[in-house]
Amino acid sequence: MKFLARLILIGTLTYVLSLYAPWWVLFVVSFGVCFGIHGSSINAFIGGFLGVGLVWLVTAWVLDYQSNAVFTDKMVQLFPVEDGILLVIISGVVGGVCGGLGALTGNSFKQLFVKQRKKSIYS
Amino acid sequence: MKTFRFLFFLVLSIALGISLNSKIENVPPLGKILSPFEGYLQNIEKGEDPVNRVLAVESPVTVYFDEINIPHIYAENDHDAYFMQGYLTAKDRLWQMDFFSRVVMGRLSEVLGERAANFDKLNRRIGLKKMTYQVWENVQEFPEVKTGMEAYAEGVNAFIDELDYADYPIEFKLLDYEPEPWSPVKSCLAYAMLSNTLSRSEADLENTNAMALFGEELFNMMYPEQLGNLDPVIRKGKTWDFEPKKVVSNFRNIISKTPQTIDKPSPLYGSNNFVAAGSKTKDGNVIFANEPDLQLTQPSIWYATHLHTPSLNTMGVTVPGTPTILIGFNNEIVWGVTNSPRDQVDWYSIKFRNKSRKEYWYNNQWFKTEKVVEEIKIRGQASQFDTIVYVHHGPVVYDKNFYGDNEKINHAMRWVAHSPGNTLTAMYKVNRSQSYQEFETALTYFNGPPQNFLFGSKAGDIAVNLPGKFPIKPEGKGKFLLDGSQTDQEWTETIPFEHRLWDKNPDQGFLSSANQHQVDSLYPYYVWDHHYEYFRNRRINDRLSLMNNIVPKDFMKLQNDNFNYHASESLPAMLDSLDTATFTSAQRSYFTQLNTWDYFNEPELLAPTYYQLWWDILYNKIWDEYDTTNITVNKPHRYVTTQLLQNNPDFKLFDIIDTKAIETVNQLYYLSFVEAVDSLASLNNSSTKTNWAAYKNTQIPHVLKLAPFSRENINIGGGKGIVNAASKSAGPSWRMIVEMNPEGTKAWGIYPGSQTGNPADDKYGHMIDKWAAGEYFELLFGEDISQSSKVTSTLTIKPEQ
Repeated sequence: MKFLARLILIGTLTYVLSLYAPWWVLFVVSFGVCFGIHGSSINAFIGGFLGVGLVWLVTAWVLDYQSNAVFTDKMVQLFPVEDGILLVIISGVVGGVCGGLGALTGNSFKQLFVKQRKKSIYS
Repeated sequence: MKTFRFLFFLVLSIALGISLNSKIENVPPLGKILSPFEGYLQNIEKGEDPVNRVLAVESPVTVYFDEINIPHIYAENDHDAYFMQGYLTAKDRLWQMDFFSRVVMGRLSEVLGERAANFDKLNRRIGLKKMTYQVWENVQEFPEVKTGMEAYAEGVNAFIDELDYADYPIEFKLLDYEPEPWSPVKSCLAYAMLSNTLSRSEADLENTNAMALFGEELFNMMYPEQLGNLDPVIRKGKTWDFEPKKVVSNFRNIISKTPQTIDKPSPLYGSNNFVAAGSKTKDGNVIFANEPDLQLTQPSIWYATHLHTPSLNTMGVTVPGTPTILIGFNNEIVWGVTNSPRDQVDWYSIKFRNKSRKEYWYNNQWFKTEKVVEEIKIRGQASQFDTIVYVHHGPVVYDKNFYGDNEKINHAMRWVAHSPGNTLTAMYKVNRSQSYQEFETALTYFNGPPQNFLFGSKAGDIAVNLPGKFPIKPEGKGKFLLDGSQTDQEWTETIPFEHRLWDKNPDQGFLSSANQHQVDSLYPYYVWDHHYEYFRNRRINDRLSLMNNIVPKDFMKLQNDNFNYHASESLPAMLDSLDTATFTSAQRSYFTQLNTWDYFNEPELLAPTYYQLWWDILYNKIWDEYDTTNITVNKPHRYVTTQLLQNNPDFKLFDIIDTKAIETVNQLYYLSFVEAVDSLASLNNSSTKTNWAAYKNTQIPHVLKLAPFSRENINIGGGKGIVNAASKSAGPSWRMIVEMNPEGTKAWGIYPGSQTGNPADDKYGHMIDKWAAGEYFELLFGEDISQSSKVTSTLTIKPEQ
């Protein structure tokens, strides 16, 4: 549940805030969300990676698709990759890695304040 | 441990964030540029533009856009017209405008880094920045022009203010910098930019070198001032009924060598204009054609606009960043320009008193110099400081810090363009001229760069005018480096406007110009340039004198004419010299191709390629002497070369220096023919296409030479010296045909590019293939176009409350 909540929250907030703020707001989002809903490091990373990465990937893919990939196919010639769709995927990965790192940072920050509690049977 | 882990991730996140937000070497900031929310994907046009806007105009403005996206700005006053011109030009070309202003101001290194530093230094040294500020100062005398410059800048800034990073043109994102505010001074950049392209071409130092290398007799044969069979801009035999101003005829050329010379604009890209009077046209209306040829780039050098106010209804093209229309037409008149090459630069050798360079020797005494330190800011590095020493002639461009040949050389530049005058005011007034008289008065303000102004009017007048500032010089002066210490080496006066070159309503019923010699020897002033056109002018005049009942289509055909005049004059002798009995089969087929050719450089033909291959090899063999020297000299013109081949077969330099034998002209023809056939074979072996368009490979690169935003291998014929002057990197940059129809001016136009400068736009470069095919768009024009079916969208602007 916490994983899904993190993922959805990171994705939604990244999407909404990116419309108004610079791209690096994703660090703030994934940091904040994982500070709020912390968990294991690997869980946090994957949540951040997928949360941001999917939003970037899908948004990029939609814009690319709507424009018949014409401009991506031009831009890709400036990069050392061959295919336009690879550039879209790379966009997703770049967003994902940043999101994942932000999430790890937020999560590990929260760990500083969390005392090890006895495991509850409900969690 | 936890703290360490947190700090580790924190530092890693921040480091990643910063590096993806910055340009590193040539890699653009990947985070920013790949983000689908603000990166390159945001440059894709998103459907319809808004139809209503509120902007800082004084009254409501309506803008109609046509099928090629030309804005037709209908405003109630000048301020609003120029405000919207600035706003809409920026919308399509903001990055290009910023780039132009950085070129002129010598500030390219701020965004491109060290690789542009020498370019910036050169542009500061030759004074482009200084000139631009001077133009702005001169504009102050003309409040109406000043208002235009200011309103234009306001419009550009209104657009810039609307932008977020996501909206920045892609070039800003790739180079990772922000657009900076526009200013009225920048609105004056066209003067320095066009002067730099059009009037700075000279060969004084190259000529001085050539004179030292070859001596006077050979020099005069290789670089003659006039040759027979020329067809000048001003028809031969025109007489001049004024008393010319006297000129001091003392001057002394210096014998010296300047090993390396500064970069200069190519002397000739080729531009044509021609006009037929009513007596030559089918409907009795003046028909006009103009096409300025420049280096072709994307975004295109030109931007088309239609400005309409109660006192103005003018359409045409201008350089982005410049208000008014530079080439165009209104209800009553049409005008167009070609460059009129005419020596505008002199170089003076300067002697400094000592290494401090605080004083220089002039008129037998030491005079004080002036020093200006220019700071060239360089991205990612410390600024470079360049000290420019000024003497009364002008800036000492060549000195110990710049092309100075180990402190041996100090050359000061005197360039007529350094005193800018009121060229922009002239254009402002030309835009509003309603008759020949008004047009002529407007030209009195024109100060250069020298242009052949062709004119036509609804009233039926046709005229050509060569206004501008031309120093009065004795014959032969200004071709070589001059002695900067002597008073009599300088020019002091310029030719008065009343004594300028002009012609109006000649009996022949047509006028034209194509960068050729301006006038025959009857003109009482000395006219000279180092490089003239010899072919296009003759082809155009040959055709015009034969043409009657002209309709606009005929002029379109002439603009796209591919007749290779040079081939028609050189190839017959080349072919006749060959011994056909000894041919190999490859040589025979090469020969046959050329022997059956009609001299038209059509894109699909092989013969133009065969001719060009052969000629280029021949030319290099003839002037092989030039390859043995490492000082800069210009090879003679190919027209002169052909004349020498045919009239002076014993010319000394025809001998190939690497061989013991003394080659004759016929041997040169033969040797180069054999080599040409071999080079064709190797081209064919590597399966390179050898039809003319493919071999010539006309290209339109992006200004930053980014391959995906560039075009190459454009399927167009023509070439250098051909009316359709599309060479590898230059060509017709705006083709315009105008008929002064009494029911309303009719016009057609096209340029190799698009109004939009956005490579992400579907329409980017959409006119290129039509341009190559010789097609035109009929231009929407008139007092009221609101009901025209050619209007594709309308934008209404309301003033701010």
